[in-house]
This record gives sequence, C-alpha cells and structure tokens, in this order.
Amino acid sequence: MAGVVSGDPLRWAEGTLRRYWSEDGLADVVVGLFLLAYGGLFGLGQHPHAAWARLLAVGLAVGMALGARPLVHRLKMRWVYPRVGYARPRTWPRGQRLRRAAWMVAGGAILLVLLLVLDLPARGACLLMGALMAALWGWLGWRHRAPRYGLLAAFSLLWVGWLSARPGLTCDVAVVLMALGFMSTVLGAVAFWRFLRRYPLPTTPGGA
Amino acid sequence: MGNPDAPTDGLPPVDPLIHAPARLAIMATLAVVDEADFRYLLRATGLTKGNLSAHLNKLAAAGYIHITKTFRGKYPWTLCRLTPQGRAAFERYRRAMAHYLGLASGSALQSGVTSAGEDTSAP
Repeated sequence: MAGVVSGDPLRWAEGTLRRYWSEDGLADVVVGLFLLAYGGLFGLGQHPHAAWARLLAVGLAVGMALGARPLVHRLKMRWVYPRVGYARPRTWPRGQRLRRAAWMVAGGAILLVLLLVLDLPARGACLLMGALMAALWGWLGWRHRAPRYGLLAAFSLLWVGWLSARPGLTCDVAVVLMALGFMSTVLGAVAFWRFLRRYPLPTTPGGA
Repeated sequence: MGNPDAPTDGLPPVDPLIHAPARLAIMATLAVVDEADFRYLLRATGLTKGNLSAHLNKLAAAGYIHITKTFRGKYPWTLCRLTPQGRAAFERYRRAMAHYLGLASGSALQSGVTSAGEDTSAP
C-alpha cells in the first residue's frame, strides 16, 4: 500500500490532503498574478490624477477576496481533478469559520492602518511587507512540506536583510508587490508544469 | 481461543472493521474532508481499484460511509463521505487506540523498555 498510514491516522490524512491542495501550484499562479496586477495598479495610483487606478486596486482586492476560491476551483476542475481526483474540504462549524474570518479581517485592517492611516514611510512599509510575506511563506512551506514556499520565504528574507543593511535606500511598495507576484507566478507555473508531467490524464474514467 | 473482538475487562473495544489498515486509511482520509471521489481515495490510500471498491462496500454496508454514484459528463463519478455514525465510530476507534498506546508506553516505561526497544533499566 503506497499511502501507508503512519502515526496518528488523522494527521497522516491531513498531510495527504494538504499536499493534494498545494502540489499543482495553480493557487500560487492566481495569487501571483493578483499581486502583479495589484502592484501595478498601486504604483499607478501613486501619481496624481490616477484615482481610477486606486479605485481599480480596491475593486481588484475585493474581487480577489470573493472570487479567488471559485476561480481556483474552476481551474482545478479543468486540470487537476481529472488527474488526481476530487476532495471537498471539510466545512468547519460556523463559530470556527467566523473566528477565522474575524482574524483575517483584523489582520488586514491592522496592515491597512500601518500602511495608509499612519502613513508609514515607504521603506518601513517595504520591510513590514517583506517580513510578513516571509513569515507567511515560511509557514506555508512548513505546513505543506512544499520547498517552493521556502524559496519564496528565503527570497523575501534576503531582500528584507538587504534593505535593512542599506539605510539610505528607498523602496517602492509597488515594485515589491510585483516582484513577489512574479516569483509566485513563476514558481507556481513550474509546479503546475511538473504536476502535469507527473500525473498524465488517465485513459480510463476514475469513477469505478 | 477466545474471540479477539470481544471487549477486554476495563479496556475499550477496538472496532475490527476500522482496524484493518486499508479501511483505516479510507476512514482517516474521509474524516478530514466533506467528501472525496474514488480517484482521490485511490491515490491517497495506494490501494488497487478492486481492493478499494471491496473495502468501500464493506464500510458502506456497515453504515460508516455513504456512496453516491453519479455522472460527470459521460463518465461515472463515485463520491464517498463519512456518515455521522461512521464519524462517531472513527472517533471511538481513535480514543480506544490512544488508550491502548498510552497503556503500552506506560507499561514499557515501568519495565524499563523504551518505544525503540532499548533497555533503560540498566544503571
């Protein structure tokens, strides 16, 4: 039996499920493209008479928050599920979902306050964003056992370290967002390409 | 020889239907999702199609899982999910196993043998 159960069966199954979700890299491509587009609009929005770009950036963020999951699901329906099967994630109790959503909203609000209301200098905003992204990708890499997240975390950390070591250097948040988006898109696309090679379309239907 | 499935005095019974490695893998896989299709279970458990199908039928007959057979396009699509009864049975099984493992590690420590089989009683 290839998928032999070792240790706690639930932890084993959760590990299998996490690898299943992250292995194809499609979510990384979607997030990367979003960061690229958002960074571009954010950069354009810095110029006077470019209110439309700021408005579009907010619209894009809201659209991403609401539509990213269905979009990834549709892409997976086309490319992933026919190859490795379909598993619908567990619907957690309402209270737990609300708590998680509240944490996400609070985190987003704190970030917005730091970036916009307190008018954090661009350099400080860059350092904060780089550190946050490094922490997020490091956590994802550890949780999903996916080296590409480790690479992204290392890239972010290197860049934060480089920026800290040069006090006179200015930093553009838009460029950072676009660089991170580019990295995420490329690594996600490589993961997807490897996934397609590893799991060719089966010749027989899977629903026995 | 006595019945191995019969509960021992003071010890929780272990469900023999779940205790088989293949069915344990299926139950654990289904416990962390709402539902999964046949291909996902094939890949997660590493069983062959015939073997997986036989084990699924046994679990369904016991009322632990619910199997829905439908079509996606022109291909048959088999979806499996744990029933509330199956989820409760799996929880009971986990608790029983945790109890047994706790007892085993306790007695091993008392006799001076670690889980790796090394004797620690010697000075």
